Amino acid sequence: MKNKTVIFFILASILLMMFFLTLGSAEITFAETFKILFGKFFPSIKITSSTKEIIVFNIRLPRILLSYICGSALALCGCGYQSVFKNPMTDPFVLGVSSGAALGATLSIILNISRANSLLGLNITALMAFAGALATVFVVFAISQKSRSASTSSLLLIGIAIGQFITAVISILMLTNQDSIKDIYFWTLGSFSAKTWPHLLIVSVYFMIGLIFMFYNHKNLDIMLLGHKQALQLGQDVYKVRRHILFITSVLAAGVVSVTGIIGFVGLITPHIVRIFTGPIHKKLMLYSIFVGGIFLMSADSIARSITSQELPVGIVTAIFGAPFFIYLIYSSKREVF
Amino acid sequence: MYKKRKQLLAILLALLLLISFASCSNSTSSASQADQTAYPLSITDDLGNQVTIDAKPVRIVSSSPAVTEILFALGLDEEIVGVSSSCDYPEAAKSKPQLFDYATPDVESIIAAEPDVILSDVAYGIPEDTQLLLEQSGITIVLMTYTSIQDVLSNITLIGQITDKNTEAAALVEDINTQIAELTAKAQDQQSKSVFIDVGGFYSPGEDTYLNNMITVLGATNIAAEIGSGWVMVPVESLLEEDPDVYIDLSVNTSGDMPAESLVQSLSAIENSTVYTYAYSSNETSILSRPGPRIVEAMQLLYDDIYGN
Repeated sequence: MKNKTVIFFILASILLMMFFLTLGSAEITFAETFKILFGKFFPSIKITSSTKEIIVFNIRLPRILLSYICGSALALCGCGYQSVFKNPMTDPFVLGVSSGAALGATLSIILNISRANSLLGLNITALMAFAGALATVFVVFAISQKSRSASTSSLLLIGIAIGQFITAVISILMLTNQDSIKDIYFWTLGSFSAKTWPHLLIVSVYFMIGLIFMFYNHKNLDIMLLGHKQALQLGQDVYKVRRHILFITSVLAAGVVSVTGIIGFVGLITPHIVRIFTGPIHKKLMLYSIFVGGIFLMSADSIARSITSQELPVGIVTAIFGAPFFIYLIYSSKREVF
Repeated sequence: MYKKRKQLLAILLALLLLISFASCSNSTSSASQADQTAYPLSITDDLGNQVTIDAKPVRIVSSSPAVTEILFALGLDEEIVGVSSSCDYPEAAKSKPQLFDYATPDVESIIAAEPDVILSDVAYGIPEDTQLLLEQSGITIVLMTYTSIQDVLSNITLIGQITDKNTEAAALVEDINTQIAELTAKAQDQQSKSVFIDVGGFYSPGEDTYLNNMITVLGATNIAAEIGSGWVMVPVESLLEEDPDVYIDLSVNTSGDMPAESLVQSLSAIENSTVYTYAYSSNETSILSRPGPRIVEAMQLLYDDIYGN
């Protein structure tokens, strides 16, 4: 039964990927798309136009794969955060990852070091955003370690406070560098537009690390959900486990955000949607969250880039379709949601 | 003796011929330099990127309305294979495929259009990731900036050089220069005025903007120039204090009401009816906001508003 569900999700993912590969603003027929795709593996099939090949292979395919992996990664982070904080409202950005990344990106845009330089096909803005995200998480951790109350709520509150502080700093930078406002604003909106193989590669590396670590710790996540005292009674080194999980998920979230900008909602609602069906046991919850998050974000992005002639920010699509669906699930669920 | 002299004469003659030939070939080469672009053409664009144009571009995409206007003015109608959704002048621009949007460029369609070069300017720039991906796909991008009338003219010359329309560009620049000189001369007889341009929320072109440059060239003072460089948010208090003679509001909606009127009622520009409002989508606003060949019209418009016909 369980294996069947997994196979269903894998097949559904692959079929949807192939379908979305045929969508886009450039006029490339269904048959041509598959010719190009399979032509890469079977050189005997002749590819007609190199421009179309670039579009299918360097633009659509990496973008579809990237949106899938980012959806999976954010959902996985969401599972971790919601377990550690025992709080249904937490998403992967709650410790200031997103605002830290935005600050890094803003500095890079303002200092104008990004355009002329790139490293391994990634622009400097992505690297600065990653550094900013990690630096912020470290500051949040450092402060909460020093404070007398080491509870998760104080960590959460420190994260929110620092996030707000950084947002204010970004606003100041935007006001004093008004030429860059447009670039900064569109970076924060979050998008898979113009993302290609190097972006996919780097996010995949973070994702694999996060995946292995989180599944290795799936029992610890279950125990944490019981609460601080119970976990201690069960012999768990709560602080150490919490630190490790938050560190890994923060790196993963930072990796995603630095490449795509801030894409909210997926990391928040995917674990809840899956929990309605699987219950709170993390091995199952994380496995299906990866599929559902991936399919959700990939579909949202494919709709965003092909529904109108003008591309929509993906965040609009995730919220427009995700929010009503989520509310419907909560409304019709017989189980307690969190 | 006589023979020797003949030899000398022959040598002199040969030298003379050589020099005249040399000077002749010299003059043709300088002529070709002025009229014809030698490809591959290497330039450094305004962002410091080294760009090489391999051959005369026959498929050109513009991401900016100003660049589109320049391309049309240079007679490159045929070569333009894509524009932005804001490109609405001249009329023919509206029928070109719209590949750029203010927010997100349509990367797929841009690559599918197979442009030899994409010409862009800062106001309608290309997002970083998109630029990187387009360049990786083998498309050349040239980005232009402008903070003065001179920059706008340099951009026209540069576009002429890239597209091998040097003569046309030179003629256009000369024409613009002549007309600007006429306006400037006329303005010298006028009493200096202070001006405020509001594009919405008291957002205004300060020092180092081409609008400020135009106002200064016309012998007027721009209130916002004292606030700062680039586009600046002018505090209402400073505005009331400076009390500009002329208020040009480009932020109005189609109904023509001035949005900030209640805040700035005490301004003498309102009392003297020297407030000029142009709807956001009006022809006047597009003339004033585009650093292209219609820069003369923009200056005429400013002149009329500042000095009152």
